[in-house]
Amino acid sequence: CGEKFLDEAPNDQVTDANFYKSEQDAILAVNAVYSELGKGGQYNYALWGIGDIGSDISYTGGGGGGDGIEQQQLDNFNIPSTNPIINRLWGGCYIGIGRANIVLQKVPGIAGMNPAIKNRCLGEAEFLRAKYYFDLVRAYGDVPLLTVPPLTPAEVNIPRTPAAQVYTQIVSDLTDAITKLPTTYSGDDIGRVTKGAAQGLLAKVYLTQGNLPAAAQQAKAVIDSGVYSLFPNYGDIFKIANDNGRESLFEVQYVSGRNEYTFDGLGFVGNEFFGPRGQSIVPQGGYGFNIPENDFVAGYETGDLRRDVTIWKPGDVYPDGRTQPASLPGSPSGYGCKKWFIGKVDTRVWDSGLNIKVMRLAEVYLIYAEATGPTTGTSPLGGLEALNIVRRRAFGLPLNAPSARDVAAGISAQAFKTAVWRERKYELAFENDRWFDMKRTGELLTSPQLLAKGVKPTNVVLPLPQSELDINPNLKQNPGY
Amino acid sequence: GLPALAHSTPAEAESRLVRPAADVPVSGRVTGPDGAGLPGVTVLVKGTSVGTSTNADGAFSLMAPEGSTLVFSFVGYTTQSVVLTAGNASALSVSLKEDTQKLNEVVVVGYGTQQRGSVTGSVASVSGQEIAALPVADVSQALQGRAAGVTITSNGGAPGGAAGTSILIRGITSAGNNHPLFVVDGFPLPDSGEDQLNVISPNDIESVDILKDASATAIYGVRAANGVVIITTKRGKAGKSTVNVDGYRGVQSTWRKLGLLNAQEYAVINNENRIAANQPIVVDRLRNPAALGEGTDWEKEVFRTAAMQNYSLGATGGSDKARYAVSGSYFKQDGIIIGTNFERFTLRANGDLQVNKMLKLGNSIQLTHQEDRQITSNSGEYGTVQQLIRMIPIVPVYRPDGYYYEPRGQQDNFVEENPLAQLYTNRKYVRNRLLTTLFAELEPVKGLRFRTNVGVDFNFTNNNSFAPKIPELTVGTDVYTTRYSTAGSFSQANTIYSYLIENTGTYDHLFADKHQVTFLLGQSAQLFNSQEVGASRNGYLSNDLQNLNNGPVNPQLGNFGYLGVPSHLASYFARLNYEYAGKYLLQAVVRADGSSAFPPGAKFGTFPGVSVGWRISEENFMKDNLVVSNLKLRAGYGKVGNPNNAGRFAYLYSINSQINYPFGPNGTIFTGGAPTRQPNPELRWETNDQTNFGIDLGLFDNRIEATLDLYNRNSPNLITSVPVSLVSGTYENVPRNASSSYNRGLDFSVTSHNFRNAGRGLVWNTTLNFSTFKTRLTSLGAGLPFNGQGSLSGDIVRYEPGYAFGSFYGYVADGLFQTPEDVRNHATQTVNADPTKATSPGDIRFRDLNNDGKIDAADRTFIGNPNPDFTYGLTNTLTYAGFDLSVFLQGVQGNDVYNLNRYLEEAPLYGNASGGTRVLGRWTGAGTSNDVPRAIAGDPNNNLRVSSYYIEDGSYLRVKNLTLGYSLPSTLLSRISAQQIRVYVSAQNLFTFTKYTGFDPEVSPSGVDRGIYPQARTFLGGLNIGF
Repeated sequence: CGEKFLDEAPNDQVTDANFYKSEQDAILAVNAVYSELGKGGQYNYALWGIGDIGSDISYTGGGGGGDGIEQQQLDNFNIPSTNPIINRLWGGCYIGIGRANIVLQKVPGIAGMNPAIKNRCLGEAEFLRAKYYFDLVRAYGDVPLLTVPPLTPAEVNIPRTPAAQVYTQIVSDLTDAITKLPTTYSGDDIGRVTKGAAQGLLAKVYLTQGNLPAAAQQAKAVIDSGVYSLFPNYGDIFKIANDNGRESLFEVQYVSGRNEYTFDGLGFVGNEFFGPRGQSIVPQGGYGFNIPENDFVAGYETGDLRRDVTIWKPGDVYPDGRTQPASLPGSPSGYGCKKWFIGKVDTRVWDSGLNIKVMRLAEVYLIYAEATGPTTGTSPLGGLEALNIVRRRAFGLPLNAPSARDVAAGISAQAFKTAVWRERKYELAFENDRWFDMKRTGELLTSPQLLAKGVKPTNVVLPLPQSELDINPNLKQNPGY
Repeated sequence: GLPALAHSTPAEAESRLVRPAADVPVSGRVTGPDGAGLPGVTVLVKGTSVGTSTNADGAFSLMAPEGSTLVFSFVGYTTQSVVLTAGNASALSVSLKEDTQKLNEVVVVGYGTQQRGSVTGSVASVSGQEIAALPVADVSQALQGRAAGVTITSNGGAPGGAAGTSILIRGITSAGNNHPLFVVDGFPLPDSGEDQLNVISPNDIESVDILKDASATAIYGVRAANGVVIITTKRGKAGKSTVNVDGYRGVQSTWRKLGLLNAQEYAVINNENRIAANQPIVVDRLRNPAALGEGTDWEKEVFRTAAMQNYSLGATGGSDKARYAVSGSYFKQDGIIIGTNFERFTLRANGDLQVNKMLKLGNSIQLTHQEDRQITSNSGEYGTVQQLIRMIPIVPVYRPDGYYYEPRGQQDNFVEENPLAQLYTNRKYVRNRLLTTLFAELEPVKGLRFRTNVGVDFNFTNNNSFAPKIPELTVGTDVYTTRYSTAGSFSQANTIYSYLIENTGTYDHLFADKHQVTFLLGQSAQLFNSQEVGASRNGYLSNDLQNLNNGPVNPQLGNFGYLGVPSHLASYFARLNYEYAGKYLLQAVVRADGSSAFPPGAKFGTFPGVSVGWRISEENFMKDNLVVSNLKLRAGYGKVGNPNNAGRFAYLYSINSQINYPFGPNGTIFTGGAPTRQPNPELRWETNDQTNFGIDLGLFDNRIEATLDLYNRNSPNLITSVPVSLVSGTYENVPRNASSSYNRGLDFSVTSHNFRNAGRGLVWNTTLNFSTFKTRLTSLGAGLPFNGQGSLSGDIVRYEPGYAFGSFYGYVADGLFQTPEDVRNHATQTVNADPTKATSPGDIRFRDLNNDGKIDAADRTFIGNPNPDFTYGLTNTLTYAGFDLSVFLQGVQGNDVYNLNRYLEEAPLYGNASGGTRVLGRWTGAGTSNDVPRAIAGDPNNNLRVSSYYIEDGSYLRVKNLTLGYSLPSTLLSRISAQQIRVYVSAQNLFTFTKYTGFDPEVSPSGVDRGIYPQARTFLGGLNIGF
């Protein structure tokens, strides 16, 4: 009895020695890149905390007191470097990036793969890497840029890379992904990244960089592709039956009935967390987070159908016939976030199956409008028309007929830009984007509402997580944190 | 066993100069103290291999030379020598005394035994009698305070010891697994947690021997770094048949209540914190606190007085050819937290068979069946203890239809679970364990023994739970919601098993009457494996049919499980013991262990140990000393290992396939694969080397016996789980041999036989055990300081060189701000334009340690050490005229406890949860309190941050056990042919003296109280009957 007795192979584990060998392995490796999208580091916790509550459209709500302390910190611009939301966003993005890096390193060398699948896998990884880096660079500013899997701690613990260089990588990834990704999918591949998703995201990246012609070009390519069309009725976008619907470029895929009490399951927590507190119209009674600000609600134009899709207000009728009270714990105004409400469905505690829209055609129109300015005409599409198409839908009007709700021609470029920003605020409310938009447009530091809450110039970026600073001495904290 | 010591007196040496005389027939009888014949006694002609043993009546006969010395020896009795004369040869009458002196007690040292007087390492022994004296489920709990150098800390008072009991031998060696190796009847148990000794009935134990220093533990090599606990169960003795019936029944209850807010107090403080934060009062009935009255006392609802009982029946006996010990026991303990209980049945059969002169066979077999129900405690923030502290008193226990009331967001503005609702879930653990060994021993010539030992350990655990569906209730407009909206079940089956085969050869011989040599050579191979399967079902139609099979099959609910890969340990070992003239002692040990967990080429390690001893009291110049009856100096050094923190296959980059994401119109779940941990091909087992110096002292004919040991243990390559930056794309910590530490300490024990009269006269013994150690993390190598156990408000524990393992790290609290000037004059804490969101008077002042004018993460420092300055146990036993009284005190001194329960007790200051009455003394204006902060919803100053404010002195002194018994006199017993009848009453944890404010200061070695299951105070009465 000797070395042979001790010669035990890890046949209960998959290791790098027996993985990344086949097409199936490549697909598994890509699936792992997607999985972070649905978790707490992205759409299940971090992004609604930052994108919605951290902005001027909503506040924490919940039970009051210490309930949702981490959301309150973002809400009130009193954000410690130990805030779990900023920690989760950082981790979620980098875990996704790490998995994308492995795909991009290993998949090219896998022999015998269908070339179309191989291209798709690489395009998916490039898109997702770009998406994660885009979130990082907007939230934190300069961030360490890794494009190959690190092997040693020294390769991990690097200093922050200038944001411009990160943007260069994002643009490069998306540009390449566009050439590799298919236009549409069928069957169980629906929900994977498409060419349109990459084009739409690239348009948004260019817009963020201020490269307006390039943004307009990418947005136009999506609009003209003929793949996407607006739902005539705004409310239809947010129905489970319309998941991955005609308007969507990219969605986070959620299913219900799988996990309990977790931000990291396969379902979305918003049905429960945003449900009117204690009203029992969602499975656990409703926690009442993410309460619309009074100013935000007051800002809806009369007749804007988006209001009743997006928010609860006193008197709104519940599915069981009861009505929303005049005030609720955590919501003295009696308002609530309704956009992700699906009611009492078969869930395991928190997980709803409604997909989160990451990018949809209406936003592409608005990107196009902002990048193009108040140009008129329908062919080629003018910026004014692009904005008005979105507005007409909001009022239930035919999309292509001029209407009384249109922003009229002759508006100044500056006023038009402001009008587009306002439209984004209402069109995309509670879609995890408002903080990023306010940062991009500069409203973050000028909004009277946010000034009243104590926003400071340093708040244009979030603090780096303390735990990361503790591990990596080469990381320096953002000023003011 | 090893041979008895060669007592070589000058007189005997002289007699050996005489020419050997002719053999004469010798016959006689050996009796015990009670005058009855003693069978199985070894009779040996000194200096030869000529001998015999006594028959069932104690009689013997043999041929021996006149003038030679006959040595009579028997386990448990003092060895006696008689010089053969013409006068006594035909009717030798020898009476053996029962051995009460520690010097001659047999110590189990691993693959053999030694007499206490020959031991050169550091070995502590606890008798079965001491263990059985405590009414506990787990043997390890009964060791607390009984052995110097062994720090026993219970992780909670859950019934059956299910919370686990930590045994730290000579300090903390690593940030990871510090469990000692348990060896039961020669079988080294697989490492499977801190609650596994509760499978053994304490009544079955003969002795527990704890090998502490590396020179002693090196015989167990790579697994010995944390010490070795050797448990020996009772075996039969020839001729002495006894049947013992033991039983006790008792009641347990909490010894302390925290004191929780009543409904009125809760309303006052909740209103106050909302008003302070400019928040509206949303629950209407809170507006009039006085009308709320007392409300529900959740402490009263959750804790209860609980019963416990234990019955055991054992029989031992046999002849010199065959001996047996069989027993059965039943133990049942209800928990003092409602919904918890533990039940255990054990069966044991140990046998020894002398097949012929050369061959001996034996076995031990133990079967245990356990069933228990437990609640969550001391983990995270949703244990039952935390739930009951947090629960608001303004709601009832039950709703109108008799189901448990669930707090409602609308009516109560509180959504945490009713702590009693756990009773809905029918969760049961069933454990069955079989541990058996079989040995054969061949002795072809006197002194040479070959032994083969094979054994198996099967450990089966089932965990079944069913959560019922509870209907909603509508009364008028009032809707009572439920968390239990669908009925679901969960079942899990787990098997852990291990096989062992060992072959040893031992040769012992006395050369030239002075050189006693014992040599052991052996081989051991052990296999370990485990497997687990689990399944869950959801959406049961009825709450009545709770079987897993009765639920609808839902393909979306994952079944899970794994079939483990076996791990193997192959070992070779040798030990040499040499004694010169009973004065100079030497032991040398070496073990080579190979483990399958490590990379090819790096599987084997060698672990040596050497120790020497000098029995000064055997030297001529000390022989007649009237004061010092025993004096021995000992010194030892060894190097041993610990593989438990290394895991398996850490050298590979493993792909995690538990990553899922749905795609497609039906949300089909797809598997993903990615590494979630960086590999470490350099990972090895941990090692430590230890130097030990000891002195054993006996004074006044061993009326006072003392042992003192000093040790220095260095751990140069400890595995620490080092967090990696998330930038790596992985999130699991990487185990590295990065850090080093030392443990230096002192173990001291002294026993004083204050009175030792015979018969029913006064006997009074006092034993004190004292241990102290200092542990320091000396280096983290290339790693950085990292954080350990955390709470919701941040990490509490930090590992940094220069500090003890598990040290607490955080802000230094410095009283409360009393006035706005205080706040202004101090470093900035929380500033906000809105005064309700800024630091204000009544908030905790934190020290600005770096004097930069602001309080931030850089102002954190080491604020506490969970390791005690010293631990001790003091036992006094008195017997007189049939009465026996035993008082056992146990304590720890100088340790810090991080009281996380206080987060919950003080939660009413900051939110909607209720809590402890401590908040009644809150700050309400300048000078009102410098201790309990103000009430302010949202806690803008973050008073809940990790700080010295939550650290308390964890020292305690406990009257662990007080027992008063009465044994019937033998005159009475003989009439009913009984050997013993004893009745007793006993109290456990009768008094606890501590400044700690939580339920109980004994909060696991981490020193962080996360809602620990409190220790109960127990009163019981019992009966021992022996036939």
